[in-house]
This record gives sequence, structure tokens and C-alpha cells, in this order.
Amino acid sequence: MNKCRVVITGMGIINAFDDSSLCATKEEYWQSISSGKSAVRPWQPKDTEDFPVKYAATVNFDLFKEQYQASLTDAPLLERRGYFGLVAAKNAFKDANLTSSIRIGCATCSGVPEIHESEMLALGSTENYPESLKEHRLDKPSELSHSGLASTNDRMVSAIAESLSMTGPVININGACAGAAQAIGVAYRAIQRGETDAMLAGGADSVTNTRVMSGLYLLGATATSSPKKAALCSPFDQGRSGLVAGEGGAFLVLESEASAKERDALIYGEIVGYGSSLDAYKVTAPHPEGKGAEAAIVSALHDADLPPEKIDYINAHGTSTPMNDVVETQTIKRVFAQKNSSVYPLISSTKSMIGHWISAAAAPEAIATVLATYHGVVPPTINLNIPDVNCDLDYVPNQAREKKIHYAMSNSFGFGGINASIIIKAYNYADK
Amino acid sequence: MLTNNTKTPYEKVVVSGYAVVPPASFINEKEGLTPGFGSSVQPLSRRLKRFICRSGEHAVTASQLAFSMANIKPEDMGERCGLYTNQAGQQHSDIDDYHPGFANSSTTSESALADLWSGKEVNPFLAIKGLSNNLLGAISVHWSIRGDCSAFVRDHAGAAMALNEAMFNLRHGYIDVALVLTAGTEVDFFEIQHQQRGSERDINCGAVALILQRENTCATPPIAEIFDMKSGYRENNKCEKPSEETIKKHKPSFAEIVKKQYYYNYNEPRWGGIIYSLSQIIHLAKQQQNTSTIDVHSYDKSGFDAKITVSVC
Repeated sequence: MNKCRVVITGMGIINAFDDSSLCATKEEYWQSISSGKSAVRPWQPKDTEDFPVKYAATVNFDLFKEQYQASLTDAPLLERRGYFGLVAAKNAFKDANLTSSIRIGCATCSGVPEIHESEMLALGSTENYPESLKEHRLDKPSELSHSGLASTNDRMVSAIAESLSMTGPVININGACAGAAQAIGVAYRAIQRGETDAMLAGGADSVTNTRVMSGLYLLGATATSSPKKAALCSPFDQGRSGLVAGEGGAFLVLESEASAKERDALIYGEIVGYGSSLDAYKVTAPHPEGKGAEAAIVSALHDADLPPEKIDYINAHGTSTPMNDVVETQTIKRVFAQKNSSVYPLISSTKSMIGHWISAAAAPEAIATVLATYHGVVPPTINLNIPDVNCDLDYVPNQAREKKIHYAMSNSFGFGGINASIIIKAYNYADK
Repeated sequence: MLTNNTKTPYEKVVVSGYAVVPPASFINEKEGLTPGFGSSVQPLSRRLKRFICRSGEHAVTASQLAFSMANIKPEDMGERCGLYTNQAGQQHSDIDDYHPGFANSSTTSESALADLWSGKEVNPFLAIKGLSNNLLGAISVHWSIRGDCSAFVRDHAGAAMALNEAMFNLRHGYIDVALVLTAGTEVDFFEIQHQQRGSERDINCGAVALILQRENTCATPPIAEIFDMKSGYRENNKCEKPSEETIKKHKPSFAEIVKKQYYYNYNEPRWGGIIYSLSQIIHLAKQQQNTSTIDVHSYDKSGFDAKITVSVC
């Protein structure tokens, strides 16, 4: 079967490793994650002092708006994550030196809408709530007349497509925590089947608002263990207690190899495999034996036509929740076990540094995976001091490690039992 | 610009089942709905209803009818059955869902929201019900579907994307059966806001299910063959909607459609997209035993165009 090769020619990211600056380039991002820097810091929702979730990896939004004022001048009304996504997409486009002479599309993921909270609050003080809501809308027309529009699921992808005058496929996926991985996978396939020359693929998310954080807390997903303070995002550690939310935007430029070569673009890596699957188990919990996760990993290996032993590095889903990290470890051991050998790929969770970007999580992780293969360095899992007894693989604790990486995998497993795995190959210009 | 989405080794993709479950008011509202086309919704169990989205009842009924027509038990297919969904319109929780939690509250700070979520009055699954991938998760659990999947959320265009992805995966042999499912409401949150100001649009739910297979793995006689799919975006992703007058005038009979080999449904429902129009043509052609090849077209306000070429077997 003759499928066209798909390479990565650009990357753009927006997040922050401290409150006084932004991380706005792939170089800054790589510098931070390869040196084990944490983006997690104290956080509470606005006007709240005793919210049970006390840490998150947030972006200083005022600073972001100030720094990207020019870029956002003509932007439509978007949610917070939409602005992160728009800027990250433009940065990736610029990084790839793309021009509109080739056909370009976009694939993103969307999550739970951020706003309508002020509308909900307006309901609180009266029994006659439809009237109260109407009054509230009349009081704040500029804020609310567009609130539904701003949080429409595909608003961000439309804004990106319009701002970059795209004529390729404009796709929006909602695959929960595997959303960005599915967006990248669907973009990869769109190029393979010749629909387009290039795709911007990735996502942006922000769940640092009361409504979504309350929902995650009530589902028992968030870390609340206060003794660990900012180190509480500790995948595979015995003291881990749940996920720590992060926010930002990240996009990769996927391009057909032929198009990239024709315009003499710098190639950072190649996507060679994608697989997705469903647990069909519970909408709120993953399969306890990781059957769905295993199916996605095996499907990606099958797509890449690779035996498991060829994978040198796995960027794990590694959420720091008690269940995920054990199930993911068991799944990796089942798939990658070799006869008479206890050698497994190196594994790390970059969520330990940047937090969990929920629907967009796979986007910064895919960038980390591409840069790991490009630089030959595995980024670490930080805050891993005493490994869980059931997490007994090499998670590259606390310090990056040099390693020649030929093939790397990025795993993403989401609510609703939605799983996706992507395989990146180090690009060899001499490889025909 | 439309480009060919099926530039892959040719494997016949056939439709082996389809079902449409429209909103109750749809048949009266939309003139010219094909007689006997839409099915009534069947009630869900309380357990499933607790965590499935508002259009879930319609989606479960549609998929059940389509699987039954195809004589397929999805639970027997394991990872060889793929699921491709599109949710359109209003996805998220209603104000009514939250109101019980506010009944005794007088605070207006953000902490009221935390209290709301932790209160017993509000369904703890609201967060799950409000996800735009709810259909994918809930339907996969309901039918034990474990194969390749994608949940598209792109209004009308999402239905074509779901079909496109299903065809690619079937043709490349990644799966043997695909359930393509699109569901939702006729209006979205933004329009519901306007509706509060006097609009009379229907916010009821609808769903369409389509079962696709490669012809060589189809155990029952196929209903129709999908030859080709093309899709694309117009420059700047903007598309002028036809005038109301054009829409009103555009009600071709099936004979006219067959003559022109072309169908453009200006009244395509948001919850069904091109999958609805495709099912409509298949249903009409099957009723009249007409094996003509027809191009079914679709577009949406974001500048998306799609064309599917279909023929009843």
C-alpha cells in the first residue's frame, strides 16, 4: 500500500514556567523540560480561598495578552484557550516558514466550554430564574451576547483557519484527554490520503476555572495532597494523588515529505504510526487492565509496521493519578515484553513538569517527543523520588538522559475510554 | 475546492444499515420528509440516561435500528468495529440542570459554583454529559465497540468528516465495520440564547446512524455502495448561504434528482448533516428500486463542501 510519508516541519507553543514570563518558542520549551523545570505553582479560583485544588500550571493571561496584543488585534471573541491556540498555531506556521502556496488545513481538539459561569451565578439569587437570567444578560450585553459563540466547540479551529486563510480540511475533534493525539492522527491521515499538503495539528485548553475544576475534583481526578506542595504532580511516585491541571496551546506542522522537500524545509521528525481505540468499559474510569490502551498502542505499531522492540522512548500519558500510572505500566510491560529480556523502552511523563492540559495534553507531549528524537535526549519525569512498587520501569527520574532515539511513542488515554498513540521517527535525510 | 478523499487502493465500501430518528416535530416542520423514513425514539434505561448526552436516546435508537438492519452484533466485532461520531448543536448542560442546586443559595461569588457541583441536587454526571465526546464514550460502552474512533465536533461538516474517516479506515483494513453516528440539536447555545428573546426554532434532538462495511466482509446483501467522497474548503472558509427564496423553491422530486444525478439538500438538519441526506437518497432509491448513481452534496456556513457518490445495490 503506497501511503505518502508525513513529516514535521514546524512547532509552536504557549505556556509558562513562572508567573512573570511566557514560554513562547519550542526552544524555550525544550530548554525547560529537558532541564526538569516545573510549571506548577499555587492556584485558586478567583474570589475563592478554600478551593480543595490548590496548584496548577497556569499562564499569566494579562502578560500573554500584552505580549501578543498585535497578534490578537483582529482575533474574534474566543475563550482563554482559544487565544492560546491561535497564537501557538501562528507560531508553528511561522516556524515552518509556510506560505499559502501550498494547501494547508488544521485539526484541533476542543474540551469543556470555559464560560457561562457568570450566567449560572445570575441564577443563584432568585426563584424566578429565567427572568433573572434575562436581566443579567441585559446588564452585561457585551460580555454575554457572544458568550455562546465564544465557547462554540469549533470556534478556535475556525479562527485559526480564517486567520491563516486555509483551504485544506478544517477539523475539530473532541477526544477528551486523547483529543490532541486524535487531531494529530486525523491530520496525519488526511495528508496520507492526499487531501492536503500540510496540516496544523494540535490543540489548546484551559480548565483553570471553577466549573471544570470542580467537576474534575468531584470525579476524584485531581491531586489535593498538600504536603507535596508544587511537587504534587509526581507520576509513577508512590505518593502521587491525582492530576495537576495545566493550560496552554501547542501545534505541530505536519506536511507531506514531498512538499517539505520541494520547499527545502527543515524536517524535525516523521510520523510513522497512529492508532486509536475505545475501552468500552465505563465513561468515568479506564479499563482496569488497560485493554483499550493496549489496542491503541498495538494499532499504532501495526500502522508503522514496527515490532515493539524498535521503540526507544515512550512519552507516557503519566497523569499522576493512582490508577493510570499502574495500568499504563502494566500495559507497556505486556506489549513491550521481549523473550528472555527485561529491556523496555525508556519512559517519561512530561506532565510532571507542565501539568495536564486535558483535551490538549497530547500536543505539548507530541512536541516533547519530536524534540527528544531530534536532540537525542529523553526529558525526565520530575518529582519521582520513591517509585510505586507497581511502577517498576525506567521513568528517567528527575534528570534528562542522552539516548539515540530512532522511534518514539506518545500515549494519550482519555475520559470515556478514548485512547490514542502516535509513533515518531527520527528523520534521516539520507533515508529514501 | 473539492479534492478526492479516496485516493487509496479501491475497496468497495457499502452501506449495510441505516436509520434516522428525527425530533418529534421534524416531520411536520420539514416539508417533503421522505414517508416512512424517520423512526420513533425508544426510551433508555435510567442508568444510561444518567450519563448520556441530551441526544443520546435518539443516537442509541438509531444505532440499534441500523445494526439490526445490517444483522451485526457489535459486541462480537471487538476491535474490528470502529465508531465515528459527530455531535452538533447544543452540546452542554441546560440551565434547568443546574437550577435545583441554586434553590437555597444567595451567594454570588465563584465559590457558589463549587458548592453547586458538590451539592446533591445536581447530577454528578453533568460534567460527563456535557462533553462533546459523550456520544463516543457512551455509545462505545453501550454497544461494546472497541475499535478505531473519532468524535468530530464541527457542526454540519462533522458528519462528512466522520464518514470520511470511516471510509479511510475500512479501505485500509484497520476495521471491518464502521458505525457512523451523528446526533444533536437543531440549534446551538448561541441560538438558544436568542430563542429566549422570541425565536421559535426547535431545539429537539435527532440522530442518524449508518453502518459501513467493505463489500468482501459484508454478510448480508449490501444496500448501497459509496463510490467516492470529495470534500474541501472555500477560500477564507466562508460560504454564502442561499437565500430563503432559493431554499423554499428547492424541493426536487426524486425523479428530478435521478434525472440530474444530483441532490443538494438545503434543509439538511444540523444533527444529521450529509449523513441525513445520504440516508434519505438511499431510502428513496431502495423504495423505488432505483439503482441510479447520485451525487449527494453538502455545505456549511464555515465554507465546507462535500460530495458523496452513492448507488443503491
